[in-house]
Amino acid sequence: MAEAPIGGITLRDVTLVFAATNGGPVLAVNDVSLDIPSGQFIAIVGPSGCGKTTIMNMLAGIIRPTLGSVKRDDVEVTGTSLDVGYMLARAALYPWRTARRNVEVPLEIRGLSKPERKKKALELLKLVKLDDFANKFPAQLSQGMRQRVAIARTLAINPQLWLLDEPFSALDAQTRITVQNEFLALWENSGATVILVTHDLAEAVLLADRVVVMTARPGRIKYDVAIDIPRPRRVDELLDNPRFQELEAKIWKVLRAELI
Amino acid sequence: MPNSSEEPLALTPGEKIIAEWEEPTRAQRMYQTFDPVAQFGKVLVVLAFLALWWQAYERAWINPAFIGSPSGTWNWFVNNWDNGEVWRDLSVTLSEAFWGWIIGSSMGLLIGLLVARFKFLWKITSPLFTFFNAVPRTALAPIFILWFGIAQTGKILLVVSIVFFIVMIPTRAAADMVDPDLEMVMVTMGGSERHRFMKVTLPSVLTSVFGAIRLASVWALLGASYAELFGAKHGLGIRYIAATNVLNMSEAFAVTAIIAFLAISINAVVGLLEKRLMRWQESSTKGAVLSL
Repeated sequence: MAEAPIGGITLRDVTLVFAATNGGPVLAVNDVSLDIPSGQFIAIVGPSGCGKTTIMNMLAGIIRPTLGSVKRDDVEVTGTSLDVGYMLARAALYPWRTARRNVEVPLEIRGLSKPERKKKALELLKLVKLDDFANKFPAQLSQGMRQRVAIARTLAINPQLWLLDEPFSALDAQTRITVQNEFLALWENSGATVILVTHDLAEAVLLADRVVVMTARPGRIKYDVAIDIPRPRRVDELLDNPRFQELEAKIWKVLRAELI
Repeated sequence: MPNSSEEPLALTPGEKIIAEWEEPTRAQRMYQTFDPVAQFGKVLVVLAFLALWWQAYERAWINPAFIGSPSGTWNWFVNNWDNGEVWRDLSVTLSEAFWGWIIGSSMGLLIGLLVARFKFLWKITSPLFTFFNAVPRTALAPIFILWFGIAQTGKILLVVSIVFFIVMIPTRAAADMVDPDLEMVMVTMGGSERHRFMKVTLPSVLTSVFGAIRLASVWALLGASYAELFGAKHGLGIRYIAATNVLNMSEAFAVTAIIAFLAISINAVVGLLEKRLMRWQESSTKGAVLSL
């Protein structure tokens, strides 16, 4: 296989076996190889339990592959890294902290001074249009607002790699479109590499440069397709774009076979 | 989304806005919070209780030598409110309760977190904790008199023995139930073990056990007063026993009332503190926090 481009991510023959406590070991990811060039927005879709989240956790350095190698910028990933932003389906905000102080958490870990943290957090909240809500607690925010705070927190450290594990799945349909659009605008100005794991095929096609379909467990890569819809994109305008519909239908056929 | 610009609705013919939200008037809000009918009811219930008590005394349902009358109890308050000895006794009991509460809660938190973090420690110590939690702590009071005499140490220790378990048991449970997503986020952000403890575990646990700590504050007062019944130099408990020994029932009843009012006040003060620290739990709706 060709060398991975500089600054990209390379998964080479990655296999992960969980040593389950009962019922024997579980093969979660089976022999996955994937090259992700720097700055690409890639979406991974697949049925539940196909190992999508496991791949993310390996990229984040939370778990190590049983076999094979996971490299970032040609360096093996051996632990969590300070320039990775990881976002979950649930906003997972700290309920006892205000929106601003939630965004400050990763900055605290990096040891920024109090005024620096505050300034940076307010800038980020402005980016997600929540500067008026900086001093509200999560319980006082709507679900969509909480997820936007989580986006601000994920981006607080200017990560070069964004790992997004179904970040929009807990939102209602209308809020999701708004948050996705805001998110796209942020990413299109960032140059970061994004890996988005999602159940939602339409979301994958709407947002990503490239979609990878995984098989049911043990997860392997079944299909890898480039999404040649020009940017900048707006999610709500794309829904009746013929190229979007064509790509979605094509990928759906592949995915459907895995869902039964 | 609430913060996006709100354009006025353009109504087409045939459409109309059915209902618009109206701010409740000041009088409506006052009525909701004050509710005069309920206030009146409360006064009636208290008066009925006093009447019943008075009748029990007047008609000698209970031997009048063994029961304080409402007026006698009231007179005791009137004659003794500026009595320095009563205030001294009150402060002695309060200080025992306070230190027992502080020491017992801190130990409960510390040990609870430790056994939650080190499961093996819990495995080997749980029989002992289960046993001591089952021991009726009140039965320790006379033993502590033998060990520590009538000094305050024994009272504080009894309070500690009560408060410790009230706080330790929920602490351990809460430490095991910290939201895994909150921990996961801390790990992915590169947080160390210390970050995880200080920024996730500790605040989660504190918020879950604050109710237990508040409950323990009331038990601390009751425990301290109780321990004094078995012998003390000063304190509300020993004043109570001294009064019953000479059948001064007005004083005995008054001291009981003082302890009850103290318990209510402590609960209210700790409740206010809780409300202040937990203000993030209130969403837009304001809920009453104070209740015994």
